[in-house]
Amino acid sequence: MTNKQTLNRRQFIKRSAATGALAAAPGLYAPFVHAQAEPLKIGSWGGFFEEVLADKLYPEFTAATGIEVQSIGTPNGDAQVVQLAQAIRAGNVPLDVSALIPIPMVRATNAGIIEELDMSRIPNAKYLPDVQGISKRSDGNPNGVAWFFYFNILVTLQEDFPETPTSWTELWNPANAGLAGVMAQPEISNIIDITAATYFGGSDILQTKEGVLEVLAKVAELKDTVALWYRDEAQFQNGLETGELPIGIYYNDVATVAQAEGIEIDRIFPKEGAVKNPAYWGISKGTALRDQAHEFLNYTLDPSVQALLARNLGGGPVVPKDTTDLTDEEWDQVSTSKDTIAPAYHLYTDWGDWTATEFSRAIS
Amino acid sequence: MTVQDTTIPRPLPRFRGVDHKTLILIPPGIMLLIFFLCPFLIMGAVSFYYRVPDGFYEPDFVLTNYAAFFDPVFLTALGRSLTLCAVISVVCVSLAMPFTYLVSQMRRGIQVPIVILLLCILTLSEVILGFSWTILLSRTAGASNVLVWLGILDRPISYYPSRVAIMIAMLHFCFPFAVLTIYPPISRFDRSLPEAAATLGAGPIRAFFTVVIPALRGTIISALVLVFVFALGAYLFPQMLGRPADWTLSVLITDQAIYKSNIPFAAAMSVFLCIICFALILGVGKLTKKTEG
Repeated sequence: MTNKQTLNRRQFIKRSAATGALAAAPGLYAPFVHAQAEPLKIGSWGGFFEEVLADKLYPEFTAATGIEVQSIGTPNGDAQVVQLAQAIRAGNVPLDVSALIPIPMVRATNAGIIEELDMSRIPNAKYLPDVQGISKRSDGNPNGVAWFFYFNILVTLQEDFPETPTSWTELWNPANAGLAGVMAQPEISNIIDITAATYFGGSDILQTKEGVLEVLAKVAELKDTVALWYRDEAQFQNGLETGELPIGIYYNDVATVAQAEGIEIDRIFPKEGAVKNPAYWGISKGTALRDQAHEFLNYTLDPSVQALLARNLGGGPVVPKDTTDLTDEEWDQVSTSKDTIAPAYHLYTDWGDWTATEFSRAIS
Repeated sequence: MTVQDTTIPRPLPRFRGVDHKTLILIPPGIMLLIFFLCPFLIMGAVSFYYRVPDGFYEPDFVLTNYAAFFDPVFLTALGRSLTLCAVISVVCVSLAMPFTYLVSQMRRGIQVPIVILLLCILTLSEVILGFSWTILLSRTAGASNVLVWLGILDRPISYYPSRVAIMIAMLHFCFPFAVLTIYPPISRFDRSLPEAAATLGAGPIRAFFTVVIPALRGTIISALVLVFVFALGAYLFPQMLGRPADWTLSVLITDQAIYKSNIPFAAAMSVFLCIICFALILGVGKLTKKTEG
C-alpha cells in the first residue's frame, strides 16, 4: 500500500481559503472546523484514481468542511478487502472510508467490516437512483452509497473500423478473428451479462445454472476472435496503441483518457446496452470518525461535486443530469442516456466459484 | 621429485561441544525455517480451510478444496504445465550444453563478455521480456513484417497468442540459468578425456556425445531439474503470450488467489504442485544414483 500525504498542499489550500481565495469553491458548505485530532483516512485505488481524488476532491472537501483528509492508495478488487479485513480484525482501522466496487463490497459486507449507514445524515442520497444507487446488507439496511458509475463499453480503432459498430455482436464477428481484447475475469468484463443481453434477450436466463451454461456456450465462441484475455489495462491499451488489438471491451473512463492521449478510438455504448457498475463508498467498522465519514459521503453526492468528479475522474454521475451544470457533450463523455446492463451479481458472489470454473472451461 | 609438505588438517575449533561447521549451518537453517518451511506449513494448513462462498475463509478441516482440483479444467492445466516445463527444460538444456561447452573452450577474453551478456538477461524481469516478445511477435511491428519485406509472406501476421510464443519467451528466460548451472562443472572438466577419445579415433562430435555428456550426467540432470522447477513458477508468459487453452496451473492459482479470494483452493492447488515437484525431483535423484551406481 502506498501512503500519500498531501499536507503541504492542504495547508496551502487552507491558508488560501482563509484569505478568501477559494470563496467561490463549488462546495455549498460553510467552513466548519471539527474537533479532529486525526485526519479522515480515505482509501481509493492507487494510481490515477487516488491521484485525482487527492488532487481535486479532498482539498475542496477540506476547504468546505474543515475536515482534514489523508489519501491512501489501496489495491484493486478482493486484495483490497483482504487487507482491510485483516487489519480491522487485528484491531486497527487503517481506513475510515473505502471506495469499493460491487463484488468486493459484498465480500466486505459479509466479512462484517462495513458500518451500517445513517441515511438521515446523507440528505444528498435523495438524488441517487433506485437501481444500483445504494448497497444494502442482507437484512436490507444500507451500508454503501454509489458515488460514480463506471461503464464497460465497446471500443474500436477508427483506422480498422471506419464504420463505427453499434452492437456487441461485433466481438463475435468472424472477420475479427484474433483481433479482440477482453478482460480475463468474467466479473470484471461482465461478458456473461453482455452475452445474455445480446443473444438471450436479457438477464432472465442467468437465474438458473442451466441458463448460465447456455450463455457460456455462446461466450465460448469468442475463442476465435479474442486474442488477449487481459488482466491488466496496460496490456489492452498497448494493443490499441500498436493497432494489434483494434477492438475490445474497455472502461469508458479509461477510454476517454486514451482518446485524450491521441489514440483514435470510438467509444461505443452498444444498442444492447453498456455494462453499468456502481462504485460505492463504505465506512469501516470501528472508525472513530463516523460523523466526518458521513459528512464526506454526503459531500460527494452533492450535484456540484458530482460534476467535479465527472470532469476530472471521468466517472458517470450518480445524480440526475439536470441537477448538474454538465453540458450535453460533457455528460455523453462520462455517461449515457441509453439503456444499460446491470450485472447479475449472484453469478460472481453466491455462485462465484462455480461461475469461475465454468467460465475457465468455456474459454479454454 | 620433491617431497610435498603434507600438513595434517587441524580439527576445527569447537564451541561448547558443537563444531563450527554445525554453527555455520544455523543461520541458513533459521532462514529456511522462517522463509520456506513456515510459509509452506501455513499454505498446507490453509488448503484445508473452509471457503466461505461470499466471503473469505474460516479455519476448518475440509477436503473440498482438494476435491475441486479434480475438475478436468484444473487437471488439464496441471498436465499442460508439466508438459510445457518438461519440454522447455529439455530444449533449454540441450541448447545450453553444447553452447556452454564451446564457450568454455574459448579464450578468457571472449568467455567473460558472453557470461556478462547472460547475466544481463537475468536483470530483465519477466514483465519486460513478456512485453518485448509481444512486440517482436506482433502483427503490426513484429518479425513477420521482415518476412513480408523479404517477400516470403504476403501480409504481416501475429505469432501470438500461441504455445510456440510461450516456449520462445520462456526459453529466453530460462537459458541463462541453464548455462550458469552447467558452466562451472564444464570449465573444470578434465580436457584429457575428450583428448583420449580423439587419440582413439573419435571425432569432436562423437567425443562430445560419448565422453563429455556421460561424464557430466549429474550436471545435466541438475540443470534439467532447475529449469523445470523455475519454469513451473512462470505466470506472466503463459497469460501474456498464450490463449486460455495455454494457461498453466500457475495462472489459475493466481486467478483464484488474487481475483477470486479463494485462498484455500489456491493453496490446495499449490500444495499439489509442490508435491508433484518434490516427487519428480526425488525420482530423478533416485534415477541418477541408480545409473551412476
